[in-house]
Amino acid sequence: MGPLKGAFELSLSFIVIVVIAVILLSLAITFLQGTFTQLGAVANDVTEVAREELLNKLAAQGQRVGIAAPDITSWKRGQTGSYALGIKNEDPSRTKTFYINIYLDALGGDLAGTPVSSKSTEVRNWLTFSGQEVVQQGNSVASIIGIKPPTSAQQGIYLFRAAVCEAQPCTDISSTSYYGSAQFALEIVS
Amino acid sequence: MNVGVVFSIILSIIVIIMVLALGSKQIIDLLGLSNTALTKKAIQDLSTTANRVYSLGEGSTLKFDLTIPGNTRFCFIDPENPEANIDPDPDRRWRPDNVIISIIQEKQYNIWVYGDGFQEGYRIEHLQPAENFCAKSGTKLFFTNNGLTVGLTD
Repeated sequence: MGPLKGAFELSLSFIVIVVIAVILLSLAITFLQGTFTQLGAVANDVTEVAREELLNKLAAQGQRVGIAAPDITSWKRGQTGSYALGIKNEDPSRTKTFYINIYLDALGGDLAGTPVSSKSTEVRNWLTFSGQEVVQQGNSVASIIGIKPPTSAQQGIYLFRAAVCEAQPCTDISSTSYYGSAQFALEIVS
Repeated sequence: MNVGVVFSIILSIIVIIMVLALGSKQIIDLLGLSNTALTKKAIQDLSTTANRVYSLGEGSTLKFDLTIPGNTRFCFIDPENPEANIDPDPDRRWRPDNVIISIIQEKQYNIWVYGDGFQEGYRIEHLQPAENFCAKSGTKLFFTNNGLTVGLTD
């Protein structure tokens, strides 16, 4: 019987090379996955580093309230993320409960000139945060602010202020029990 | 075409796709981190130079080569007077938003960084630029001891 039509020949050395290549590929994938998982952990830890840095900054600079975030960050509509709000209890003798209110302070970019009151209720829903934090005497805490601008968010710069008070009601920096505040801005881009 | 070559090409394509699929996000994150580190180092170097010039005699000048990521611009401003400087050179132009002016005045920043996806202000003690201007990487800056402050020009 003659050779089959369409058949091809594989030499033993070629088969050995293919087997070695597959083994090397498997090893390479395992190595790359391990490496990238470690690097990913480094990148994710930056938030933790930023939080630590914020708490250290509060302790070192005598600041009562601070935020671990650049002054303005670009956000895409529908994107989710978080910032850390640091609160330092300067009272060395007692644990205190601090009340937090985050509100829209100003509008800029494409929204410059738009009255803040026309957007304040809408943007409040973009944020999730704990309304109060208990802080041990002389210590600091980092309270997480969750951020999610909706897909319908209008392009522009939204400047927020996180006001911290020692008692309720905590509305803004004019509250009678006002303790400190920090600002952050989101630039919504298309 | 030799069957071995075809197999090699297929294997190479599979490896390239897997590396890109598994590693692209991490590679991008790492590049972002290195840009952030370069920006922070530039701020630290500017601060060190400003302090050094402040400790020298009045009229002393030091040159500084600004090294920052390519997609970043540093703007030097007087927080007491942060209004726009519409320079014909777009890299030097300082045209801030009202929100940026409000942040600069509240925090008394004298450096404003336009980065990739973020903007951030810094305050360097004693530094008072002669005019509000921006600079990109490679710009030569001159720090001058003006007595009580350290002036900055390009």
